[in-house]
Amino acid sequence: MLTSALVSTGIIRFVCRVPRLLVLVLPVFCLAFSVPWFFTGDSGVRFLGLPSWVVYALCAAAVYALVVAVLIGCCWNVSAGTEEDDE
Amino acid sequence: MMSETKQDAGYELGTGGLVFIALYVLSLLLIGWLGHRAKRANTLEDHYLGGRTFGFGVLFLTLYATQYSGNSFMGFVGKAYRGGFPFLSAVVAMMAVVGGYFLFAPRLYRLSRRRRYVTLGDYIQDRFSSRWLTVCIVALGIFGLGNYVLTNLLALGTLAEVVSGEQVSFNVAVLLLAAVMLVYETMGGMRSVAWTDVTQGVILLLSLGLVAFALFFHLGGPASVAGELEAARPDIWLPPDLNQNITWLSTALLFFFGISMYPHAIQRIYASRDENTLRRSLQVMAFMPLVTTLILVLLGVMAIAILPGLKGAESDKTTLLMVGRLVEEVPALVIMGPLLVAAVIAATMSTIDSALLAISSMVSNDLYRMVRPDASSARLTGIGKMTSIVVMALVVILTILLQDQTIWTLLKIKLEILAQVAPAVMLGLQWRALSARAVLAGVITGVAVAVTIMFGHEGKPYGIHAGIWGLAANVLMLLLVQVSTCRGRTGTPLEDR
Repeated sequence: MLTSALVSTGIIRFVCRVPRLLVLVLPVFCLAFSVPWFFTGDSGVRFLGLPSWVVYALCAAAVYALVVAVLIGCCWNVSAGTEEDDE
Repeated sequence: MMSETKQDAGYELGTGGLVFIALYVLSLLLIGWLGHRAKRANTLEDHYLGGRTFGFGVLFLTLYATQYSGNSFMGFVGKAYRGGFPFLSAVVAMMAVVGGYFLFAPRLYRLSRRRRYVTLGDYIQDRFSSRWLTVCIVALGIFGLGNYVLTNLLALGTLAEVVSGEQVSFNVAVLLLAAVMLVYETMGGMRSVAWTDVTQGVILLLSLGLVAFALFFHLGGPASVAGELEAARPDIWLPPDLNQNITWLSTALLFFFGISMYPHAIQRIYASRDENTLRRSLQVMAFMPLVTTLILVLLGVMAIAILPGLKGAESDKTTLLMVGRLVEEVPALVIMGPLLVAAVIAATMSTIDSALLAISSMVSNDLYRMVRPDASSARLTGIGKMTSIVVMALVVILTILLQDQTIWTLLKIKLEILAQVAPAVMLGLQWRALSARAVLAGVITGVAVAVTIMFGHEGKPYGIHAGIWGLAANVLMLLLVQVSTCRGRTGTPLEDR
């Protein structure tokens, strides 16, 4: 269902055009965005009783899971390479 | 029927609860016997990969039950209790493991089908044709898995002692449960282990669902205890400083490169029935930390307000103490106590049996076969079973001797070492010209750097784990040797080995 939704929005076509190396380093690169680098001090702002940086960290984790699931769904063959690469 | 009481020492099951746990453990023996009956041939593929027949349900649940161990239930909650919200880094770190799989699983799976790999060592030998490198990688794998078995057996003994109100001593619990695991593992191999993982995975999900229900619908979630939390630990409301943020990223990287290299997880990749099954299982696995690690972290954080003042090793019992408190407050959830205890036992046992099976496969398939290349499959399987018995006996003795160590410290040591295997697998699969000599030089350098830093004066220089420093040195050395001795790919096909 997720894959078909991504096909219809053209995201897969975009992702498949991205060079292979970039696709492979994306899961490592995206980890950097899961860290709440940009928060300093307690702003006092609360969402559902949680500080804003905690909410950011939770949202970033959910986005990371989505990115990895999309990569596995759409770029499996990019990671697998071709048979010629194996021989 | 099941009566529970909370004591100062931890959560204690009543007689009914203990009977429930005993029946559950005995049912694992039955599943092991069924796995034995389902055996199709006395071959390494059948014993160690279940004949490569796992469909989505079995593959997903065995991956899940194996990835989440007793350490996740006991160690993670204790760590969240001590560290507060900054330990949310564990959520993304567990997702990073699946990110790591994406780098190598698609290609490794296809190769494993064509070249009939059974272990990680098979791939290393096939790709690099270097006995030294294979022995080195296998030794690191056995070290990491041995450590894993040790930490989980330790958690299992502690848990049994606490929940039985010390009616079952640490030593007796470790011996009994180790014997049960050994019996079903040697009877049915991977098939029995995976089938018990299915039961264990279902119990894990059910118990986590009950914990989430109790945390959010009865206690009202973290928001309801915000006042007490701020009063008890104002420091955990502040965002992590630069050093903590670097450690956050370093933890995620350590899991990315370390946990994804577990030999037993790699064997599950080989055991998938087809590529689509593996792909779907990994996609779902990417989201599992949101319903597993996150719940456990919130349990630990909320415990700061509900059970203040737990110190050191006592905080590793936070899970049990919180369950005791929740059952007291919501009697309707009386089943949650035995179910969660069963879940922790399940998580721990599923991890130990998988690791033990992987160790035995590496010893028989990678090491013994190197010495006796003409040994039959039946002989290799027999050697593997004997290895399981010897390794389990050694680990039980070590567990009994090391029971005073804290779980988290031991957990870190194996990841630091296993991460050094990542370049051999991840780069080896994607970089055709990479040579065995470069990889071996990198692994030796990486392990040396990681161990030196780990046991040196400072545990995490600049907030970065020793394993990540080791990995950086590993890759740097690999590049230096590769550039200076570039001769192209050294591997030869399996048939010509």
